[in-house]
Amino acid sequence: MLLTDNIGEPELTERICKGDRVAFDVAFRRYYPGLVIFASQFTAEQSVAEEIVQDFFVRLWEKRMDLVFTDSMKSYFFTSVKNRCFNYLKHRKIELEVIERLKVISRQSLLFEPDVYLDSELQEKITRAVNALPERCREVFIMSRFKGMKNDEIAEQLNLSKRTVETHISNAIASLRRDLKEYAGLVILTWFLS
Amino acid sequence: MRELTNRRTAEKLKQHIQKLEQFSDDQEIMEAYLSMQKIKEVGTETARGKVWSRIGRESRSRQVYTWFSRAAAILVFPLLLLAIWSITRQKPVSGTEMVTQEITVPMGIRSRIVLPDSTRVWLNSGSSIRYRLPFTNGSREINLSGEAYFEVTHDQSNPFSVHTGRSKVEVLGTSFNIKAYEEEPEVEVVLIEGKLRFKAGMKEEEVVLSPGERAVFEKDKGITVRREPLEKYAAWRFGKLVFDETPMKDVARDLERWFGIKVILTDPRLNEYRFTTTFENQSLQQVLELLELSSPIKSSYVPATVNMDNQPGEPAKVHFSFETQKMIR
Repeated sequence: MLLTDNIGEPELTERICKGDRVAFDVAFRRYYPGLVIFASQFTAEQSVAEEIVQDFFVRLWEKRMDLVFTDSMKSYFFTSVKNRCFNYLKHRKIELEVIERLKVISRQSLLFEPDVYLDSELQEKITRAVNALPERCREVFIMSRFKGMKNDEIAEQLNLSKRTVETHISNAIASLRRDLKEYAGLVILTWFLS
Repeated sequence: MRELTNRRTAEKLKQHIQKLEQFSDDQEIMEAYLSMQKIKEVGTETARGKVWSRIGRESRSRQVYTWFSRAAAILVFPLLLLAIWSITRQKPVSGTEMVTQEITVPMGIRSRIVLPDSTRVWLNSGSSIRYRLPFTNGSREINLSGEAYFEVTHDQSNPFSVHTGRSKVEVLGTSFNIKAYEEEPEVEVVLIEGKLRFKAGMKEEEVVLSPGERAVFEKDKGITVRREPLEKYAAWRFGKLVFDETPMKDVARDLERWFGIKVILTDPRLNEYRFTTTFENQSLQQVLELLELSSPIKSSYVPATVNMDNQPGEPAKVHFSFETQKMIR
């Protein structure tokens, strides 16, 4: 952990406005990686997301003198990046209908919640829910759902029976449902309210 | 062409949206968890470098020169003149008659010079180099005290070597950083590009370095070579002061050189304290502020004195003390 991590947000904002490069670096290190992954949920490509977020930071420094955050730094950063992503998609001539679908899903899905991309309580809750899965079960689940492996491929690689793999997967789903369903619902609710 | 890439983007995006729409709650959580892992793999430092270099380029074209760079330019200019003078000096000297050229950079200042063979040298604070004229004379020999970064012009028939009191570096054409302050127990060589031979100590121990390697010579241990990311060792020439888990004692010494001040650690507990950050063209005041803000250190500044006859007296001093109430998580 960097010692600079505990500089408060208002202080950071003020310092950036005054042209303090260290403060800019602190904000950059704190937000950049999360913003990139957040943006890639909109762009579907991480390299594009990286460019968008870098552009945002260059622009942030250039107009630092007249920065006024009506909201927190967090919501300013995430909202700006989101808008930049939509601008990019329009520029790329993506059909309006597709952009509308993305807008809808971005209001509903946990994956567009800024707290997923920052040190936060939400991150802790997600980690806890995933860690509550038995290790094998988690491993099988990741291989199946995110690496797109077939059940018999997983069975072969982990030296398990196909039946066991299936049980692991359904157990994982049940456990995650139990642990986070109420929370996922909550996230969606707060999105609608805000 | 443009249309094709647009179409590809659209295709990728549609698939992505479809996946998102079909996620059940549990898959969303799992995907969120995987996204959290991806955050850790983003190349933040590289991106930070890119962003700063873009900021530098774009603002320079708008002629926004800070006071800092103006001051630096003024200080570099006399040294440039000196280098030009040394080149013009070279011609009338005959082979038997040797003239020694010495360039010294005081504490608090860094400078860049060009040698007669067009080798570029960055000299760090409190360092000096000495060489004989004519410089290119079957070999190119430099004496160094302190820290310097060299970008050596390739010239096979005139090998280039750097001597410090305790060591010698021989190269053909390379970029490397060498740190050999007399008051420090070790000599450090960091090779960015090319190849070099590093000799050190009474026993003339010798190693050949490849790019990406860092060699350290200590009197009792001899030479040790390690491969590691080297960016931080040569970042000073871009005006960056990099600390990476650096003990306070060394931070104090670096600040002394960098700003030409005297740092006094008033509490032995400070010696154990380690500090990690990068300062880029920061003023002393900004650096002290950040130190205070991020650690249990309190600093007090005593300005430099001037004697009766307007001669410089004591340098500015900074006292670091330990603030117990201010504990860090």
